[in-house]
Amino acid sequence: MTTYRAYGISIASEVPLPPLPLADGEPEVSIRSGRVTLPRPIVRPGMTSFRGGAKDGVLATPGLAFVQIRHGREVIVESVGDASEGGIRAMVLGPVLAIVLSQRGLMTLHASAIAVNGQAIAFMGDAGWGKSTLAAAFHGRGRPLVADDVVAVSFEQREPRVPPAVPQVRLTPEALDALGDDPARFPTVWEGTLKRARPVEIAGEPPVLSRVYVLAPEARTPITPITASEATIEFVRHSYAVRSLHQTAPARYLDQAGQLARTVQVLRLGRPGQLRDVHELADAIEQDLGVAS
Amino acid sequence: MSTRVAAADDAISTEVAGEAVILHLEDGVYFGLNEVGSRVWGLLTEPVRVDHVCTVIEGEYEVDTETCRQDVLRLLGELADHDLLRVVE
Repeated sequence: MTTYRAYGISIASEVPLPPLPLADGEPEVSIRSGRVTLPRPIVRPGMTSFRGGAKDGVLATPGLAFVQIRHGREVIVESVGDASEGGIRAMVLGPVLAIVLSQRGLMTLHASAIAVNGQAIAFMGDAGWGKSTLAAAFHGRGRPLVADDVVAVSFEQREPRVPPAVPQVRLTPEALDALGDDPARFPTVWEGTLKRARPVEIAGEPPVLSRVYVLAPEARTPITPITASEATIEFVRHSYAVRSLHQTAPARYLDQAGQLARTVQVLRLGRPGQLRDVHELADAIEQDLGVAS
Repeated sequence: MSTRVAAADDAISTEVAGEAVILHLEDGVYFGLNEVGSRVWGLLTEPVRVDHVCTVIEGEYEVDTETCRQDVLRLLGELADHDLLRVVE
């Protein structure tokens, strides 16, 4: 068992999780190989499914594993046949940890976040809309990554904070090209995807979340603030586990979404078609934040 | 008008800046209601007679009886169309 640190928690894992920094001290979460005992979800090709409630349940990805997650503390990974190690690792670092965080009371968004002057700025949007590419572009401008793919929001303190996640950005070869990186230098995240894992500098302490941009390719204007109730709906729409939301903690999530919408500025960000324009987009955001270089 | 209605079991909501945001769990549909709509929604937490909803809204907002009745019925109709409302026997 190796103990790692991510999302502000110590994780002891039998599954190697190399992108994560090592940690010492008592682990708060344990990830072991074993047999799942709770009821399993029906497995559908090409989809990850979940069966359970707010405090425990089983996640399943066809060809990879059944993973039992209880009380935000105990994870049991039952791999299927000749499942790829890289695939299981991607499952653990993504959907499994997201559910652990949700069971521990955090809100989880499908988003990427970077740190600007000690505050977290998040980018929300559907798959393929450029959240990770934008985060990587900002990393190139000296802004550390806070999270890529799973943005967890903690309401424990007065202000909403985003704990630093996995120190890597997952990018398509085209996105890496657009950012001036050579795709061949980076390994694929796992065999089932074309995306590459690009290690990045990660923020130290959990920054306060102060602004969220919703990527909206169809928007005609570049940057438009939206109302708190529209923002609440966007937070629900872009929750990390939207498909299983009605099984986990929907009322709590909706309240957290409303609370967050009252606290942070949320703006719609129009996106031009070509990836090459990611630099123009980053310029527009820096201008909006008042930190144009 | 004497029919009793209430929020559907599958609907959950939260209030943000005076507006109710409603989520229908099964359908995954989201709604934002304005101030008056949110007031009506607030009355639906317990089964309530339609005419009572009209009385409350008419009392709180400057609107004549007939307009109020039409607006409330239209809103309740829309909520029903999206499975957010149930009729109580």
